[in-house]
Amino acid sequence: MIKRDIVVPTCYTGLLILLFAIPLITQEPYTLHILCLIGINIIFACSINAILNVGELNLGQAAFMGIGAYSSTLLVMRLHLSFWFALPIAMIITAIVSLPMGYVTLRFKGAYFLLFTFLFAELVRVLLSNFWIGLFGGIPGLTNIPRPFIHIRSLLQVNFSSKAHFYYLILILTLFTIFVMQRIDRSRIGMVFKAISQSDALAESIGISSMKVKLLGCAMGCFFAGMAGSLYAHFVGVITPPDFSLHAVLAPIAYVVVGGIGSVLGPVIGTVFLMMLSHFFLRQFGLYELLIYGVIIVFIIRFMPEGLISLPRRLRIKLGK
Amino acid sequence: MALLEVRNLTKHFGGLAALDGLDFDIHEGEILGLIGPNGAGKTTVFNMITGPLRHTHGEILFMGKKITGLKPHKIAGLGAVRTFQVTTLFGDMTVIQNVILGGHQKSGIGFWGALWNTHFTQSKEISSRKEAKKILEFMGLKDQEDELAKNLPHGHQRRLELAIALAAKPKLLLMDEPLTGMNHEEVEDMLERIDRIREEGRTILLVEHNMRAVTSICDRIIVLSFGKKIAEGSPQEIIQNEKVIEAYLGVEA
Amino acid sequence: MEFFLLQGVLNGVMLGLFYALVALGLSLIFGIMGIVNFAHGEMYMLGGYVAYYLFGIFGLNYFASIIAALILVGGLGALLEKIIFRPLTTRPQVALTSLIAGLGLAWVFQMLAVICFGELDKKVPSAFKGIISAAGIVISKERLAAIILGSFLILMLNLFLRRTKAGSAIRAVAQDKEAAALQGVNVNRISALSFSIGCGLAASTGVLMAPIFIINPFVGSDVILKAFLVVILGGLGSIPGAMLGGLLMGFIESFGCLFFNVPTVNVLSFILILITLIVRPQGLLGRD
Repeated sequence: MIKRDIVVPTCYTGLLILLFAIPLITQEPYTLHILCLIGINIIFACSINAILNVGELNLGQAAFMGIGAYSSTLLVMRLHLSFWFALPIAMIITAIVSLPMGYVTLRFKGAYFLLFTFLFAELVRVLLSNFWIGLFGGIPGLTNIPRPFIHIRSLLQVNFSSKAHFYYLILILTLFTIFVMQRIDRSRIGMVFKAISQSDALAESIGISSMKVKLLGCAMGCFFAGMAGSLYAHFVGVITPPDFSLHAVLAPIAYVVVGGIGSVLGPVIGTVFLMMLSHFFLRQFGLYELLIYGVIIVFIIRFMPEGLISLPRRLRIKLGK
Repeated sequence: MALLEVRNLTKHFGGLAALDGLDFDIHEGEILGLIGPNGAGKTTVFNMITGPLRHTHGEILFMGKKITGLKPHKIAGLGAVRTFQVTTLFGDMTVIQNVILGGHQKSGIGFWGALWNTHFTQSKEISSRKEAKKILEFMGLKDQEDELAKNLPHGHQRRLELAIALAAKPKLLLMDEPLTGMNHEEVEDMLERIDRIREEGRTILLVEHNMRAVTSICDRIIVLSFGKKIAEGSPQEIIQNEKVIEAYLGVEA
Repeated sequence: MEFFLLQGVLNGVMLGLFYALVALGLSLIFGIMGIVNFAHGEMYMLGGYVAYYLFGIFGLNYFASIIAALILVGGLGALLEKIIFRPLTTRPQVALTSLIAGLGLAWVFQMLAVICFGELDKKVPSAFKGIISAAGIVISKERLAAIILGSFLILMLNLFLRRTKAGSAIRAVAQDKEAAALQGVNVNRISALSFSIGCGLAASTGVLMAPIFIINPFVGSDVILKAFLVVILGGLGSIPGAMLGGLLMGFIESFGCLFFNVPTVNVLSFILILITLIVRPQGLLGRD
C-alpha cells in the first residue's frame, strides 16, 4: 500500500516534469507540431468520452468542434476579440448550441440518437460548405486565422510564433481537461452518469430525469469539443468544413475505443498511442501506413475490446496464472 | 382523501380497450393487492400510475395532485416509487452505490457542489452513505455492500431493488411482481420485509400472481379482468367471490 | 418538359435500386447481428474490381462476373464475420467495438486496393452497348440492364427470404434471436450466412454499377454514407424499409437534381429524413 502511495504520484510527477521539459529537449518543429495536435485530439477524445459516459455516442461531435472553431475564428477576425476571450466564449457557444440538438435528439434511444447525430453532422458540413459563404468561407473555409498573443506591457510578450508556445498552451489546457474529467468521474456527477448509462428506466423510477442528465453530459462534451475546435483553428490557421465532418470524428472515436471506453485515461492513452504510432512510427512505410494502422486497430479491438487500458489488468491475470 | 385516487381510468390501444373506466383508491398505510389473470390490465394500470404509459381518459390523483400525464421521474419525485418486474439494477455498480443513487434525488447534492466538492457536498455524501447503510442493514445486505450488483444471487438482487426504492423515500411503493422467481423461503423473507416497510408508515400497491402471498399480506385486494374491476374487498371475501373464481378458472393460483 | 420528367423517373429508379441494394445488405446485417458493418462500402468497391478484372480484363461473361462477385465477396464476408465480428458480439459495447473494427477494416481494404490495383480511377467497359430510344425517352442499355438486373437481385433476395428454409431461419432470428435459438436454429450459422449475403449483395451491386460509375479504391466511403442514410430512413433492420428508403432517396435525388444543385439536394434530403424521423422515429417501415 505504502509503495503504491509513493510510486504512483512519483511517476505522475516525473511524467509532468518530462512533459513540460519536452520543448527544451527538442526544437524539431514537426515533433512539436504533432504533439500539439495530439493534445488537441486528447481534448476532443475526452469530449467524446463525456457523452459516452451517459450511454450515447455523438457522431456529430466533430461538427461541434467545428462550431467551436468557426465561432472562435469569427470572434477574433470579425469582432476583433482577443483569443483569450474568444476561446471561452466559443466553448460556451458550442455548449449552448448542443442543448437544442440534444433536446430534440436525446429522446431517441441508442441507435437512433447515433443516426440523428450523424445527420446533424452532415447537415452542418453541408451548411458550412455551401451557405453564407461570405461568413464561413465555403468549401475553402477560413484562412490566415490569427495566432493568440500575450501582451502585458513590457513584462511578457508572447506572440505564439514558435511551436513551443503553442505546446505549453495546449499542454496546460489538455491537463486541465483531464483534471476536470477526472474530477467529474469521481464525483456524484460521474456516478449519476454511469447509472443513466446502465439503466435509465431505473434512474427515472427514483426521480432522476434521464433527459436532464443526458443533456448535461452532452453539453459538457460539447463544451470541451469547442475548446478543441478553437485551439485547432488558431493553431493550424486554416479551417475547412471537411475538417469537422463525420469522417473527422471517426478517428477520434477509434482513439477512445482502442484506449478504453468509460475510463478517464482510456481516451488519453488511445489518442497518444495511435497518433504517435501513425505520425512517428508508421510514417516511414508510406503507402502501407494506413494499412498497418487499420490492421493494428482491428487487432486491438478484436483481442482487447475493453481497450488498451485493460492491458495491466490482463497481464496481471495472465501472470497470476 | 386517499393517498392515490384512480378515477374512470381508460386506456385504448388502437380499437381495444385495455382498461375501461377503472375506479379505485389506495388508502394511506395499507397494503393493496392488485390481481387478475394475464391480460387483465394490471401492467397497464401500473404503468399509467408510474408514468411511462399515457391515459386515454380519466385521471389519477396522488395526494390530491393530478399525476396523469406527468413524466416518470416527476411522479417518483412526488413520492410514488416503483419496482420492476424484471430485475433492474445498476449492474456494474456496487450494492451501496446502487442504494446511494436511490437516495440521490432527495440528497440535495447539486451539479456545482459536486464539481467543486464543497463542504456542503461532502457532508451530504457522508449522510447519504450513512442512510444507505441503514437501508442495507434493514434489507439484510450489509455484508455485501461492496459487491457488484450484477454478481449478487437472484434473491439478494430483488432485495437490492427494494432497497433502492426505499432510498428514494417513497410515500407510496408500487411493486410489480416482486416475488417472481423466488423460492418459498425467499418469498417469506420478502413478505416479512414488506410488512415491516408498511409498519414504518409507507403505503404499498402490490401487483402479484402468487395468490398465497397476496392473500396473506394484503389488507385489501382489487381484482381486474379484461380491463374492468370485478371485485374489491378483503382477502377472505375475494377468495370466495364467484366472479373472481370464474375469471381465474383454468389458471393456477 | 415531359422528357426531363421521364428521364428523372428512369434515373430515379436506377439510383433508387442502387441505394436499395446497398442498404439491404447493411440492414440485413444489423437486423441479425445488431452491428453496423462500416466496411460495407468496401464490399461494393471490391465487387467493382471483380467486374474490372474478371469481366473487363479476362473477358469473363458479365453475368458470371456478378455471380463471381457474389460468391467471392460473400465468402470474404463469412470469414470476417467469423474471425472478427462474431467474437465482438459476446463482449460489452458491441455497437462501438464493431463500428471501429469495421472502420479499421475499411482502411485496410482501401489500402490493399490501392496497393494491388492502384489508386487511379478505373473504367469498366459496358456489357450492353448502345442506347434504346422509345416512346420519347432515351436510356443507355447499360442503365436499363442495371435496372433489370438490380430488380432481379432484389426479387431473388425476397424469394430466398420467404421461400427457403434458410431464409425463414434468417427472418426468425431477425425477429427474436432467443426464440429462434430455442426452436433449433443455429444462430451462428445464420449470422455468417446473413453477413455473407449482405457483403455479396453489395459486391454484386458493385459489378452492376461499375460500367456506369467509376471504380477507385475510395468509392466505398461515399457509398456507406448514402447507405446509412437510406437505412435510417427505412428503419434499422427492416428489409422492406431499406428498399422503400432506397427508392425514395433515389427519386428525391434524381428529381431534385433536375431543379437544384447537388449541395441543395443533399440538404433537402437531410431535412426530409430528419422530418420523417421526428414524425416516425423508427423509420418508415421500422419496428419499435
